[in-house]
Amino acid sequence: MRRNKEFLKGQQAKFKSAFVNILEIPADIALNLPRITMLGNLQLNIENHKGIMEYTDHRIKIMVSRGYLEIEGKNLVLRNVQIDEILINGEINQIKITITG
Amino acid sequence: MKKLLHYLMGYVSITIKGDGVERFINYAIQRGIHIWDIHWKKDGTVKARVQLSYLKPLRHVARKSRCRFKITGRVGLPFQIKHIKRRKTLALGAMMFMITLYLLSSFVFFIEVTSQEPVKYINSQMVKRLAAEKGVAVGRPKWLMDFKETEKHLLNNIPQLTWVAISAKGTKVEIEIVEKIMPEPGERDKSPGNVVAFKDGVITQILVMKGQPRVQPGDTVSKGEVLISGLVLPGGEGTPAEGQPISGQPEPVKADGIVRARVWYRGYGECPLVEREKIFTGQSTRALSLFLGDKEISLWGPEKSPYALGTSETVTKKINPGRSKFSPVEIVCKTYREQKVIEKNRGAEGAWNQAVQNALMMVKQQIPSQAKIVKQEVKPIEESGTGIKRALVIIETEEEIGKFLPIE
Repeated sequence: MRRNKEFLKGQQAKFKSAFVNILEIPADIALNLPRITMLGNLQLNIENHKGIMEYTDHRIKIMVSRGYLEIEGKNLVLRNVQIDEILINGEINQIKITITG
Repeated sequence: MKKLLHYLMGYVSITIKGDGVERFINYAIQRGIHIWDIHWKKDGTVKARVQLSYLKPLRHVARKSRCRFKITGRVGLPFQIKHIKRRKTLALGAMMFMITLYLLSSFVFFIEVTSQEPVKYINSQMVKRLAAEKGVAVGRPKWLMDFKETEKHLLNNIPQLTWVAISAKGTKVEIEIVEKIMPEPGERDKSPGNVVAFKDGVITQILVMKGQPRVQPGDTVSKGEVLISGLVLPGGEGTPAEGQPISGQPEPVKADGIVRARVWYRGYGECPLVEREKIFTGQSTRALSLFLGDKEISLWGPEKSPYALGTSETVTKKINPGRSKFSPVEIVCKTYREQKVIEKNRGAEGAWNQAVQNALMMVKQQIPSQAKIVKQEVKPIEESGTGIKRALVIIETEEEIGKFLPIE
């Protein structure tokens, strides 16, 4: 009887770990980090941003959680601006990301 | 897809002036306003595009961010509709154009008579006139035309027409005709030929229309003999005298004439005095057996016919498919039917009549319908105790035996 109980407990633990593995939450959502996708130097897609701090045709500064993102280049265009996503087109030369903590 | 949606909903281009464009954009985003294609202009303003329906909330955004924006361009279906609404005459004109085009295309402007082969006897003007009688005419709408009826009318009224089809191709009605192929007038007369006998017989009458007779009434001719020759020898029409030298070339003509002759036909018939006939009694038995390779296994029913006199019918069915490597398995179904013999006594008179009738039937099949029966003779053939009556029928007819045969 006792052996049977121990066996059951072991099974439960195994099941739990498997469950957690399945429900593994991606880091960008768990830590609220931006996901930045770049296509060569032509296109930049930023998901999970917090707003635009500065916008000129050669410099864009975008707020992200606990920091900001600086993009430098030429003829920068905000192709698509949505509540959680920004698409930037243009000739991108430099990206600087500053996240504190 | 998104572009199409934008077009359908309509969007405007705006130029944003003032400091804090970023703020303007941030506020817009927070309000859920979809804004795209934001770019700097050379003159220090920012251009962007916004959906038409978001224009009102954007004014609040502008006030809040202390920016000003100006609409510089309008794109999309709502604006075009507005545009068209303003120019009603233009829209009406377009509609009128469409309606006129449709109406005009439903009228017939041309009627064409075509034929695969060159037309010889049929006048296309006549075809058009007859078609017009039934309503297929230039200037009438297509929906008032009944092509089937017109086709019938044309076929009934033009005897040289074999086939006609009327079809509409746009504003053109095509009448396709096929002419009857008629023999060329005089074509048959040109080819020379003889009149030959196609039956054996004795000539009774000969009437020559063209050519030279080779036989005289009373002559016996056999099948294939020339009766009227198509080669007319110079020196007048008539039988050339024997021994007379032929001068000049014979002239070929198409021989024509009527040659009547006596022809004999004979037919034979017989009938037994007592006739035996097998008839089914209605009794039957079925048997089922299985063939395994070359072995027969009787499943049910008798293997051999249980009746002394009868027929058996066999139906075989293969069980395994044709290309099997195993030996074929077959089910054989046999049906046995009982028969019995009944005797029918006709008597001497009855048998004789039947024999004559059989003989007549046989002989009548050979006689052509145009023949005139001159004499009919029935002869009994002596029986020698066989119990069978035999009859011979000889029919003499007078008929035409001449047939035209061209000279090769």
